[in-house]
Amino acid sequence: MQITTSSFWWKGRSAEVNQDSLSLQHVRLRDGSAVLAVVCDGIGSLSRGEDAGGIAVRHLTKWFYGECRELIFEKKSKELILLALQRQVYQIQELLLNFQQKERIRSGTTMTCLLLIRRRYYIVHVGDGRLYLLRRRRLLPVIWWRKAWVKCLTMEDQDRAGRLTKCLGAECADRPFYDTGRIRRGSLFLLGTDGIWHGMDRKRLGQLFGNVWGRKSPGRMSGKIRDGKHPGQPDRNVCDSRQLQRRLEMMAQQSADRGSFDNMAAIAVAVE
Amino acid sequence: MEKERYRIIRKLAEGGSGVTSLVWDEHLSRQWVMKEITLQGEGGQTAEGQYDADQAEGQCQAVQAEIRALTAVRMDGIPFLADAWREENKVYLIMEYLEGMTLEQRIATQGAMAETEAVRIGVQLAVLLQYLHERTPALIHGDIKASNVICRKDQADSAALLDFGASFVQSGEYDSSGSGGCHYTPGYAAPELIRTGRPSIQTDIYAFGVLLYAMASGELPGDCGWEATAVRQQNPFLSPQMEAVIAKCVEHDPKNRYHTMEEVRLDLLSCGETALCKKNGEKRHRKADKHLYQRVTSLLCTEGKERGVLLPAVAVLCACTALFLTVRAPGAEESMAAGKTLPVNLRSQSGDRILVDYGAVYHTGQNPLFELPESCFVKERRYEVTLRQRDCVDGSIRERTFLICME
Repeated sequence: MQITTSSFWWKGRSAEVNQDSLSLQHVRLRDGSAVLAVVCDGIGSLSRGEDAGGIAVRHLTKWFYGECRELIFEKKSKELILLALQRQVYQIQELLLNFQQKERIRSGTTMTCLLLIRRRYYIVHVGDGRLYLLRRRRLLPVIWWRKAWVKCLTMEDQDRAGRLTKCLGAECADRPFYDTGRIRRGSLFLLGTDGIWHGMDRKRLGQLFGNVWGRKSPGRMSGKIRDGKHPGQPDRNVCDSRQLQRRLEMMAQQSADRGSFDNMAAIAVAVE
Repeated sequence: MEKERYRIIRKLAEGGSGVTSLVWDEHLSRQWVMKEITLQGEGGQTAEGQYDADQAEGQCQAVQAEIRALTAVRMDGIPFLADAWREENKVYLIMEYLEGMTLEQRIATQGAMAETEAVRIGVQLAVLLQYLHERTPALIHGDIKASNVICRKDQADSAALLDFGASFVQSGEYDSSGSGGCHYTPGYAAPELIRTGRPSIQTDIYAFGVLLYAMASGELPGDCGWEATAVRQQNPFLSPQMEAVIAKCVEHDPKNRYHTMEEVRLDLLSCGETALCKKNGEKRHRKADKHLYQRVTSLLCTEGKERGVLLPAVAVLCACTALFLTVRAPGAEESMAAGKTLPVNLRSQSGDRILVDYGAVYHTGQNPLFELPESCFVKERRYEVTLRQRDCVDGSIRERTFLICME
């Protein structure tokens, strides 16, 4: 499987500080790849949200190159990896509580984390960020506005009035959302903070990202020399990081045009 | 005319001396490769209307050498010569067609090979070269490079060696060289070949080592030459034994290199890779360092400050040293340079990219390596790059300025 990643980080049209933080780590193993993608949105109504987000992303990044690396190479089960992720969430919570006590402030952050290890994904989520999974439509007829199958993998911790009900650093972050599943080829994971999802729905996402895979479906290795191509060259499409980057920028622009003034952070991970 | 027997299917390659085509033999109903070499024109004139006796003589000798080499050897992996004739100012060679992708194409499209693959191809080539070198007199290929090695499609796990136009018969007399002079490919030529113009078994071994490096690292030597860097920095999955084989092949002093291709072959086999070691039908797997991985992307974006109290067990080694890097193009306005930050990469001594968080303090016990990406520079413009170190305790400053021009 080939993995392509891209990220977008912008403080928005009017904010002075970008309280969103992100971490994107992609390593190639002997038998696959591992990716850590985390986006955090510091709570603007509290103090120093950027510091809270920074604590979360740094901790998870260090964990990825520490304990998680051992779990990856020892090929531990998905249950152990999920438990390890849960422990990190509680450790981040401890760090944030210590930080607030030390600085005598109240602070907090949302967090959406996607961990890909070989052919499996793991999700940890607290707050109002979102993680979407898009899959290329291969069997169903492709209509111009329905080029991808889109699903939101996370639940938004918001009440009916749209207010955040759960975040890291606050007492209510006792049950983060966890999930795991197998990765299929032709998948695209999109995670981002709430600023970039302003006015965005699944239909618009499908229009925006549905054609990153191009028109050809992945083929097998061609055995004959055809049209000047040498044998051994697979005739499949792989979306490159520049395409993903452009799509993320377009998404951010559309959100800003629809009235979003918030910070924006997003990560796209394409699996081919 | 013999040429009418062969119908051209398509052109395979075109070089300075001639054209190589895939042809169909109407008599034998099979494919061949036809090499059409254009000699000096009638009356001893080139296409430009000038006569160069030395060049004409060298060209004839090159063709004769290739014919001699191909008729003298008969081995699977070396295309045999089926026919050769001359018509006016052209010489035609009909050779066996080996279908497959050249190593150059394969490396260019697929990058570095797995060590098993590189060892397998290396051993096969070593066997072929040893066969050539053991002949009496020894036959030096003289132009080993990635574009002259084919991974055969019709036979799985098989490599073949092409293009004997630069071959050299080592009979003790330099005049028996095929190229009428020195022919070499930049990047693959051993230092003594460039210096003296005399091919030898050691120059073949050197070129073979460069080929192994290209297979292991995924980097083909360019026209400007080739620098031997630690191949494991390019491919961390490579074993130290393989790195040692490559290093010994490309030693500057030919006396320090391998003496024969047989020694190279034995060392390659003992690299311990599985594809060539089968015992009782089971493959023995190499005990790989399971902690090997390669960072593709490492990005952290946050405006949050890292607090010492939040980091568990931080050992502060150099808390009072700050490093600044500035770039100024001569003649550029100060307002353009001011306020701009450079995308500097920080690497450890082993080449790993350290997390880039510009607000953080980096604790390192080794020499840190600062890297400026190519995108910082405009070609053929000169830059002053200044590295400034300020001690946060006593405020002392040290700096060094470099002049860099990207070509």
